[in-house]
Amino acid sequence: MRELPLIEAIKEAYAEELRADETVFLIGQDIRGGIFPCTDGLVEEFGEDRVVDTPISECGMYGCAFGAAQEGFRPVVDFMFGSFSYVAFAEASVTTGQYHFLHGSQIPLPITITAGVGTGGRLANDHAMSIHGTFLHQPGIKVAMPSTPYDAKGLFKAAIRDNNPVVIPWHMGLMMERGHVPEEDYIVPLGVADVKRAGSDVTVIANSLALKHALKVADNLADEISVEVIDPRTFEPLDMDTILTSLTKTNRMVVVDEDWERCGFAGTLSARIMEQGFDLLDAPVTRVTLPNMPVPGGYMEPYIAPNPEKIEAAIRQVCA
Amino acid sequence: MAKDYVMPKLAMAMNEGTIAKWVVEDGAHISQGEILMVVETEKVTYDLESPETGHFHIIVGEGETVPVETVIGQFAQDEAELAKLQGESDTGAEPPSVETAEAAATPMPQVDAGAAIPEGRIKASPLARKMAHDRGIDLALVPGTGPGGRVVKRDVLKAEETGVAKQAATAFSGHAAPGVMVEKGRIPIKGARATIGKRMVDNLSTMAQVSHMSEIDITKLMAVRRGYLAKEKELGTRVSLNAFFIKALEVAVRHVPIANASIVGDEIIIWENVNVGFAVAMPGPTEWDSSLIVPVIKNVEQKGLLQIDREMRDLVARARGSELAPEDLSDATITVSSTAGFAPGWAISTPIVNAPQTIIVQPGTALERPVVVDGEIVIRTVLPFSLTFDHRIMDGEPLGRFYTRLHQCIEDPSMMLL
Repeated sequence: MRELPLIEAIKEAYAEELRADETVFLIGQDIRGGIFPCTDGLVEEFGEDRVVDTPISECGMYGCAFGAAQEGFRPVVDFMFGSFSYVAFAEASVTTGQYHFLHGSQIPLPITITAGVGTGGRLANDHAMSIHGTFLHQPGIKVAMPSTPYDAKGLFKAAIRDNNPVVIPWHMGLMMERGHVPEEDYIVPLGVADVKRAGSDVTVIANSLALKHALKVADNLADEISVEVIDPRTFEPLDMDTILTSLTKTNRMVVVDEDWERCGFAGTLSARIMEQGFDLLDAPVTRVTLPNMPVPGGYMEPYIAPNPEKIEAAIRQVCA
Repeated sequence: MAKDYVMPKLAMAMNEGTIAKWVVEDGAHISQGEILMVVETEKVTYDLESPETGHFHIIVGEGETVPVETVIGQFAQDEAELAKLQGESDTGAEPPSVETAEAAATPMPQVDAGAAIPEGRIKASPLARKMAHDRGIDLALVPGTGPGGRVVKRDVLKAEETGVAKQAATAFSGHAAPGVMVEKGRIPIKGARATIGKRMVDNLSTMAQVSHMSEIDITKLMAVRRGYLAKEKELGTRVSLNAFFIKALEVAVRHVPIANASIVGDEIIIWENVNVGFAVAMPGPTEWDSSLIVPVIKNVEQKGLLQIDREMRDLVARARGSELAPEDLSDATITVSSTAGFAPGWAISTPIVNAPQTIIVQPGTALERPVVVDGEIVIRTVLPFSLTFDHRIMDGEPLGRFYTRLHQCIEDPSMMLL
């Protein structure tokens, strides 16, 4: 079985989609040389018109992609680090998400927005922020995030083929995470969660690097607490069926989300659980998130992130 | 061998007690009969004597409230045993009391320990609420073991497994198939329920009980009482009909002393004190249960109506507040068990004599009835009146004399002055 690092799985998704559909192109800053290896060398096969380097102007870069999408192209915009997308936030989020609605559903905007995100590299604030929650807040945008190389290839391909704008950041802490990636063409449909580990006492919802932590905690607790770990894979659309089915079995839930506590995915899911699964709950839904403060650099980073210790504590709390 | 010392049950309605003070220090030697501790139940405080002689080891500290029968201390025979007891609770992660209390817990701790029934809103997880609702389990009776005492899934499952805390199942399963027996509730036969049941059967099976029913014209008594009620402020109490009945019993006993007697061994003891017990209905510990307590007014022969009335009100209030002391419930020589209010209309019954007494009387609910007076049919207030006596102790003739005087005193309170 072939194994690839997650970043190579993304690259394979790009290459296959570039090959399969000539309207697909990549645009970003220094992507030909590859600040991250996911675009490194693609220019050699696909040329400078389809792997486009831009000046350091996120608005210009994104405006270019936006206009191309209106004209029938399928651009993939790489913001490099997630928070750089905020420079073009008005266009990338507000305008992009609402465009289809505001113009009579006439023109689809098949834009894929990506960037490296997350803590772990001790890069601090601007280089360590998560962006999925911010984009999730905006109507009209699909949001996904891969946790495994398999999901990375499948989700990126699904995002590029989707006729809606899709924000799909990837966690830098998983860049070299290796896993099985089939060579053939496949997609992981947007809106389908994955039960990464079956259990019966508590459901842990986690994604990307936090999912890796959650699985490790589940292993450590195996003799004591049976932990079911679910990766939502896409935050919008969200696979509530899988989550509620799990809750029916476990009656307890911990939501782990590497994002600030306030107004994040974890809060949204907790509220939906309360609304749709109130009678299934035997304990309050408990969240493990970033505290509401800027991500500090250096050695502090792992302490504020949803680390295994915090996840274990939350599991024990809801199982008390 | 060390002996456990438990929180005693000082009154039938006592569910828990607070250790207000240990009079001895941990490890001190105490002799039987010396004051060991001060216990508080609601508003009443008792000094408790040591039932044993030995070194006393304290397990539950001052200020703690525990259910009755919880082990709160231990008596050691010698210092070696004391050291062992003290060592156990020093090194143990949990004080022995916790373990022992759990071990001593009956299958229905929630019924025993009144404290387990929370006031106001019950903390339960949404799932536990739904499960309890679906299973017809009363959450109020399910002890919560989740954080902060929250009732969680495992608690409901346990309650279901042990078959307790069932509430009106029919309320939730109104579609039960015809012919299928649907359980509405369960009451454990223990505590007050068991005591009442045993006493009633013993009383019926050991005595020769004869019941006598009649009605008494209490029009005059009502007029006298109205006069008293008009002077309520002066008298300081609304003199109740029961106070008249209690006083009338005492007057009748004075005329026929055998009515105030007990069989003890192979003798009948006739009592000088006329201690009148009166039955007070109490709410039961569970929704479907009821209870009954019989406080006693002592030495009615020395007391006037006003004092009888005041004492009666005080005893009723304390009974409702679970504050009765053991002596409030002991040594009755004769009993009144009124059905006024809850047996409306003309009703008579066969009350059961409470051993070792001889007589119980049961006034009913007074009502207006046509009565012949001086050859005329007139409307009078009439009291249905039942009485049961133990034919082992007294025969029909003295009972007749006793009842006649009682009847006269109730019919015309001026007879009580004679």
